[in-house]
Amino acid sequence: MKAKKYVIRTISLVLLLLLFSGAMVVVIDPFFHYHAPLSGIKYRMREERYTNPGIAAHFEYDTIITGTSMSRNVMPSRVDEALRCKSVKMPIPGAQVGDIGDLIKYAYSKHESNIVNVVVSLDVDRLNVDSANRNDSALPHYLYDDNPVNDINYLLNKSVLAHDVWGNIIETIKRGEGTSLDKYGSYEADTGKIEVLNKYDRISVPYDLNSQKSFTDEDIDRTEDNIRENYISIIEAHPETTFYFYIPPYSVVYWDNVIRDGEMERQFRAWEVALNQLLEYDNVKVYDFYDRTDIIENLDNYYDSIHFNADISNQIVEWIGTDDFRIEKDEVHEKLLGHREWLEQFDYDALFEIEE
Amino acid sequence: MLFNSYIFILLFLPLTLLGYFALNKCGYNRVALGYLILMSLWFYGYFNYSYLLIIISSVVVNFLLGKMLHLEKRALVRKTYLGLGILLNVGCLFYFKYFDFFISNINAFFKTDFCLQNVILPLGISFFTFQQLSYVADCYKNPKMNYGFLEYGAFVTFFPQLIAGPIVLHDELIPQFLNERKKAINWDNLSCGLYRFSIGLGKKVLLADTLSLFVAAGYADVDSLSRIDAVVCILFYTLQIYFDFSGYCDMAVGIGRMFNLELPENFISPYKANNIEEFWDGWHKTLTRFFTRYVYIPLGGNRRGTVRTLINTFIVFFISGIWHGANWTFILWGCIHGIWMVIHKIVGKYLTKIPAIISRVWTFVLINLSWVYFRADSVEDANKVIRNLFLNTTNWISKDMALIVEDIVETRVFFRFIPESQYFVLVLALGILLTAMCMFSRNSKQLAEKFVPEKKHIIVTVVLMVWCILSFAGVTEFLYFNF
Repeated sequence: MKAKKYVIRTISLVLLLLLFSGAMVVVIDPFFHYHAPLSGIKYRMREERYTNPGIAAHFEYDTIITGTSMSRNVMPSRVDEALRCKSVKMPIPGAQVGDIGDLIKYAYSKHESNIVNVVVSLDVDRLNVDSANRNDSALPHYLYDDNPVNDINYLLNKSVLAHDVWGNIIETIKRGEGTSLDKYGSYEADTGKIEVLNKYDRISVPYDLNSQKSFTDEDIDRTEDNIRENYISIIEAHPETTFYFYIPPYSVVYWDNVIRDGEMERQFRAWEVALNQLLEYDNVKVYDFYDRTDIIENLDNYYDSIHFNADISNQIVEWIGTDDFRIEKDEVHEKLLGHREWLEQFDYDALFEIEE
Repeated sequence: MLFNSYIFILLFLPLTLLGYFALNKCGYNRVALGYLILMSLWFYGYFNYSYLLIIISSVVVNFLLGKMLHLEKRALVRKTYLGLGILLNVGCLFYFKYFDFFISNINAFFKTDFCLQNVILPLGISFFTFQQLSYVADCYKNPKMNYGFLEYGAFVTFFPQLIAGPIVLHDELIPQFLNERKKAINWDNLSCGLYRFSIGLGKKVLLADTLSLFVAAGYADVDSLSRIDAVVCILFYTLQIYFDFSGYCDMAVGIGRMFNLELPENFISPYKANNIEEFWDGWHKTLTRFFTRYVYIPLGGNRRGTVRTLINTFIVFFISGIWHGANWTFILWGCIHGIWMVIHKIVGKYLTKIPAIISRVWTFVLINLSWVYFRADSVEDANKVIRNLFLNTTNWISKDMALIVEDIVETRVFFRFIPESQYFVLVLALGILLTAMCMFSRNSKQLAEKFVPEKKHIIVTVVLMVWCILSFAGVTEFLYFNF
């Protein structure tokens, strides 16, 4: 074979194969970057940070469910019933407030029809954080921007080809069910006290309950900035949307850690600052389930100190639908005081004594 | 810019090749050389354009020094120019590479509190500084040497060798730039270059980057390594650094070939060595050559008696250790190799009767151990790895180490049937296969020598290229406990 022929054949074949790979990704589009899911294909959805922008841009919906991992077990079908809407779920595990705000803004920029509701988990441990803070080291920026050139990272990607394009084709051939939006991002694991305590490292030299770290003016500014820049800016820009913030009920084991870490005052004050800010707006509703102490003290509801099971998620959605446990602006202070009192008088040591 | 990136393979390389040969074909030879320099500067400045200032000033200053050495006849002034050249190059390297290390050691030793400058190390500064040091030294030795600025600029900045070697010498490359017969596209060279490039790319992307998953995880948590984890970490790093660096050099040589330019070989089966001397005959050859020519020989080489020869040998390895990085780990690594070489020079001649296979394996094991000091973040960490290797009583591979298998897309596709409990088999197979490859199979230079443009080689090139290009990006799984 002549060398010239060799070079031409080699380069042509490389380009042809790359073109074919890219075309497969465009057609199947496992992360919905170019189009909505094809009706004939069963999609196995994974990796929320990769899939969320496609859902935001190309799915049909009028309601967004998002938040940290606490939103992963929320079922859009139940939200649809509760709020009489058409919802999609876009959870971001490990998210900071900024990550969630960015995704909601992205959805507004891409979604053509009206967004009626936004349902967001408001995690009390993420409030007193710099507004610019993001947990985006694993974020594929090329799926979020409008630059077609960097799409090459998606189009020529063996992981996408092997796991997603090929995986979806196999799922379709095998007549599998694909991943429903209810199942997308959801998790299941063993619950119960043993599970929770196994995953918990109790601080051995704790802060005393009466000498917790203080919440400074700097903390107030930081919390306010965080909420203002990442949430209030959206709330103000979209008076047509109702924003449902719900505070996921973390278990007593979480609060044991907060107290022993000296963070009780700082978390509760940040919580209060954030709620007061959000409740300034008529299109905001906040739900707080800490009155249901039977939930947070029963470790059978939990996989670890914060993640509760799907039943609790379903219950939360139901309560939001019936407007139960909604907290109004004028009762924030008193409510939180009540929660704090209850959490401070709880006998945490008993949890561990029985274990021993 | 990295060789293993979409932009390099799909845009930069085709554009540079086409432009270079098209301009030469139209008779614009000087413009073609200028074009090559401009493209090389784009390649170099791709991540940080401020680096361009450093490399351009370095090229200009060294070129002027060369010119002055050419024009000046007075011995003392010439010596001064040489001294100035060494001072400027070494000073620049010291500032960018070692200043913070120096200050932090002063602070630690004298309990002082001098501020660190947080100097960012410009890409490839160690390589182009040495390249130009050799140029200035040669200009001093040979006053007749006189290159044009374009040739000189193209020689230093020529992108395939710019950021990680091989350390090409001016008399190897500049005459080739001036050779009229090398200015037209040569399909034989292009086809062989493509083949060599794809082999290098495969070594880097498919092998080294896969091995690095295990190595990075192991070295990130040296305390919790079991004995087998330590073996995996040590062996896989030995393989990783070889496939990574030699793969890079294969790509460089392959690209050079595409431009009809022959670059020196940097790696010739170093792990086939039967002793440390043979290892250094095959490992980073152009660096060894530089040290031999510009340090060892000026120190007297082997002409001043046995003791002085041994001291000179040790000095070369000590400096080599320093050159590799601003950390005590590299210095210690250099010292280990220096001492090993000295011992070899003393007792090596008595060990020639040992069967080759035994000395090859023995040398490989010792090289493995020495790489621990090269890779670890600190001497303390390296000691911990070695301690776990010899003293840890946990003899099985840890779950975390075995589970890394799941991060490799290929294993999930091709070895799906293997249950989690058997992942160690895959780790073992990877280690044995790649070690055997390094120790017994043909190297890329030999493969390239046997190259003929035929179907078999098309398949190899195409499969490697496509597989590698598809491997540049992945899907990062977000690990958040289990949720």
